[in-house]
Parts: sequence; C-alpha cells; structure tokens
Amino acid sequence: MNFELLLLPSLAGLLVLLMIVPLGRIVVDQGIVFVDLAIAAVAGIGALAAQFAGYSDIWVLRAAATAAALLAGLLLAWCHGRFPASRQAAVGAVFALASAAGLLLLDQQPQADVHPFALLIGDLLWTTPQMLWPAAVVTLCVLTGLIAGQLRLAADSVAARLLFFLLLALAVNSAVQIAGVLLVFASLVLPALAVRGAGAAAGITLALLVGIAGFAGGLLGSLYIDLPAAGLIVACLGAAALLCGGLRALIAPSRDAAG
Amino acid sequence: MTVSFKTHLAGLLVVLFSPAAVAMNVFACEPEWAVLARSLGGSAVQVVTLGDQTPAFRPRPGGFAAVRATDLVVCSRDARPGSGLLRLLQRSDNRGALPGEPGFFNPRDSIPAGGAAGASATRDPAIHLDPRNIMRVARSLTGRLVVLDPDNAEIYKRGALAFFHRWRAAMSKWEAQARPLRDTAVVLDRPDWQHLSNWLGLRPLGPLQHRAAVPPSLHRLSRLLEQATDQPDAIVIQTAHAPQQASAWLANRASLRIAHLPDSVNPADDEPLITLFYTLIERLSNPQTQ
Repeated sequence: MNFELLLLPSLAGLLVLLMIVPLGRIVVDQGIVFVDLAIAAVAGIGALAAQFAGYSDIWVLRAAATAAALLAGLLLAWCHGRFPASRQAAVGAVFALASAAGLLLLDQQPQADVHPFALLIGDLLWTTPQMLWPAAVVTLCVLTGLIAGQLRLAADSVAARLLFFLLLALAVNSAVQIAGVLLVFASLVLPALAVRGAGAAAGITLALLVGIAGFAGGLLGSLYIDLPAAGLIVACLGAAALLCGGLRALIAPSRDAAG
Repeated sequence: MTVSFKTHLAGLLVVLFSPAAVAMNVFACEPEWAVLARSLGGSAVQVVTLGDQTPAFRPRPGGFAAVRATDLVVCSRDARPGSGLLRLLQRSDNRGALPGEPGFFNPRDSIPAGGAAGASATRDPAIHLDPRNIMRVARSLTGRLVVLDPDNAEIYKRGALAFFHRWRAAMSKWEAQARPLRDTAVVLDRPDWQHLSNWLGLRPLGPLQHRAAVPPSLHRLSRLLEQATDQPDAIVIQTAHAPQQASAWLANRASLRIAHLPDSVNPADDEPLITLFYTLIERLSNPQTQ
C-alpha cells in the first residue's frame, strides 16, 4: 500500500482539526451549529463574484472568498447580539439568502464547470504543499486569537463576540477550501458534542483526540477499502465521538447530564 | 434556450419565400443532436435546444414551452421514470413527443447494443463521441424526419446525402490522423467515455471515478498511480463538466500529460460536429505537460 499518499491529507486534516475543533466547542454551546454553512455560502459568493468580474487567478478568488467570509463574520456577530432569542434562525436566514444569491450568480456564469459549490463534499486528498501554508497561518491566527482573547462568548462583550466570529470566518473559509463543507461541519460538531461539559483544557484535548481518531480511521480506511474518503472520515468521527461520549457517561454520568 | 439570430432569419426567409412554410419544430436536449438535425433538415426544420449542457439538467419554464410546441424531441439522455427528461416531457403535455411515440427520437436506439463495448456502451450516454455512431444516428434521424414530414422528404434526403458525403470524407481523415494514438494508455476522469476510446483504440486504465458524483477513494487512486508509473506515456483525459481535482492530482503525481477534451460541440463553430472531432484528435495528439 502507498502510505506516502496519506502524508499531505493527514497534515491537512490535522490543520483543519486544530483550527475548527476549539471553535466547535463554543459554537455548540451557543447553539449555532449551522454557522459554518452560512459562512461557507457567503465565501462562495465572494469567489463567484470575483469570477464574475473576470478574475480567474486562484489567489484572487481565495482573497475574495476570505473577504466575503469576514464580512459574513461581521454580519453574524451583529445578528448574534441583536437577536439573542433567535440566533439559529438568523444563521439559517444568512445561509438561505447566500445560497440563493450563489445560485443566481452561478446561472449567469458562462464557464461554471468548477464552482465553489462543488466543494460541498470535498475531501483532503487533493491537498498540495502550496495549500498547506495559508492554512497553517490561519491555524496559528485562530489559536493565538483564542488563547489571547480567552474567549468566553457568555461574557457577552462586543469585542469578544466580534473576535470570535472573525476567527470562525477565517477558519471555516480556510478549512472548507481544503476539506469541503461536509468534513468541516462534522469536525465542528461531532468532537464538541463528545466532550460536552468537560473543562476547557481537558475538553479541547479530548475533542482533538476524537477528531484525530476519526480522520486517521477514515483516511486509512479509504486506502484499504474502495470507498470515498469524506464519507468514511465522517463515519469514523461519528464512531469516535459516540465512543468518547459513552465512556465519559460511564465514568462520570452526572457531569454529562449537567452539560 | 438558444435560437440564434441566423436561425430566426433563415426561418423568416423560408416563411416568406418558399411555398412550404417551416414545417418541423425540433427540440434537442443535447447540442450535438441540435447540430445534426440542422445539418439534415436545413431550412425545413427549426431547432431549439436548452442552453443547459450540464448533466444535471434542470429544465426551466422556457423548456416546457419549447417542448409543447415541438413536433420532434431528440434526446439521448436518460428518459427513465424519475429522470429530469421524462418529467419535462410529461409536464409539457405534448402526447406525441413522449418516449415510444413517433415524436420522440432517442439517438441511442440507433446504436447496436452489445458488440465490442458490451453492457457499458448502453449505459454510456456519450455515443456522439464515436463518428460511426453519428453516421448511424443521422441515418435513422433522416428516416424519422421523412416519416413525420413527408412533404419535405426531398429536402431531408438531399440534406442527408450531402451530410454523409462530408462525414465519410472527414472520417477517413480523422482515422489517418489518429492512427498513432492507437493503443495509447489513457486515464479517463469519468466512467462514461467508452465510445471515444473504442473508436480510437485507446487503452483505458480504468476511470478515476466509477460513479459520476462520487469522488474516488485513496484505494483507487493508489492503484491507478501504480499502474501509471509503469506507463509514462499514458495520457490523463480531463473532460469538461467533470471535477478536475482528481485528474490534475494524478497527472501531477505520476508526471503524466493531460489532454483537456470538450464533451460536445461548440455551436458557434462553422461546422460544429466536424470541428469537434478535429479538436478531440488534435488535443489527444498534443497532450500538455503540467
């Protein structure tokens, strides 16, 4: 077997987990799990709009997607503070409107063979070393921001909220370009669910381990069995999360119920 | 819907100056059959297509109106229950154009089943990528036009004769040009590209994807990579409307050359069908190094 094929996808997967999993805990606690879909949809509009304006250079498209994602982050941060009672609905509205706008733009595209929405079920297999550098920088930003900001959205400070949503936008935009929406969504939600209620440091470590187990299992599985990597990774993430959640419930049932 | 200004003008001129008005409205799902119908029917047919060439096929209200007004539907894509095409035909409420009726023509029915390609050929919708198939389809489509519009039978027969003449001449040129391609190993980026490789005698190393919408597994990629390292002259074929990540990845890893091929005609060309085959052979003969 060609184990060397696993090197770049594994590195990419590790970066995705490092930038997404710590944010996932906050996202799940806030009950806004679809926020990554909304950000990815707006980022897609950014790339499409740049294509529409006649640009085809991949770096210009990426810059446009990042700018759109950051705008989405600002919008979502505002919604989060403005509509505390219907946050998930606000996220859903952004997602629906952005997807519709993307569809309309796509329709006007004469050469829309490869479009951002094809990234829905992306996988890590096509990672090139050139893609890893920007992702590494984003990972560093997210981790620095999280540690420096001591993010506790519950504190409800406007600055903390803004920082969180901007970091989330950066991370989701970068991760979706490598891994696709499905994998990013799964990495955001499944590990966070498995460690609900655990303390900050222990929780993040455990969640990362769940993520690593899922990615490793899925990638190895796709090498041995002829099945698409993205589907296998999510299945393994689900299994790892169930196992972790189950074990935690056995060891400390009261804590889990409180979470 | 793409009805060119020229076609409009031609139609208008025919209405004004010929004893028989434009007799036949033809609706073609795929651009290659639209071009063929125009070549055969000349001024006696008015051909419309959906602008949509993608496999997904999401008909819009304009499509319903076009099918309702049509005398002949020419579609080679899937018309089984549940397919977008059958829904379009049923919603359009044109009984004469439903599958099984004379007003519905499936080019795939003109291709003999079995043979060299076997079962895969019946599943592969890209029959137009073998010029011998174009010839077969042209023959039966002419027959259908004559049946539906006997008044203009002479026009169709003359159009067909002229087309066959041009086509045979072009085919012998293509076959001479493509002789060096025989037995070239190719990696196809999608499963449904059998007809072209059968005709040119290419040697497919197995498609990158075994289903159109499902990305390949690492297992498959690893096997293809091993095969490709033994065949440095293999060509990776990238087709329009297929994701290009996998093919680019393989070409890069195994240092193979890439041929980027159109999957249908460009209606803006002078003789779209003939240009299509020149382009296919030209690009296969001069693959690009990455």
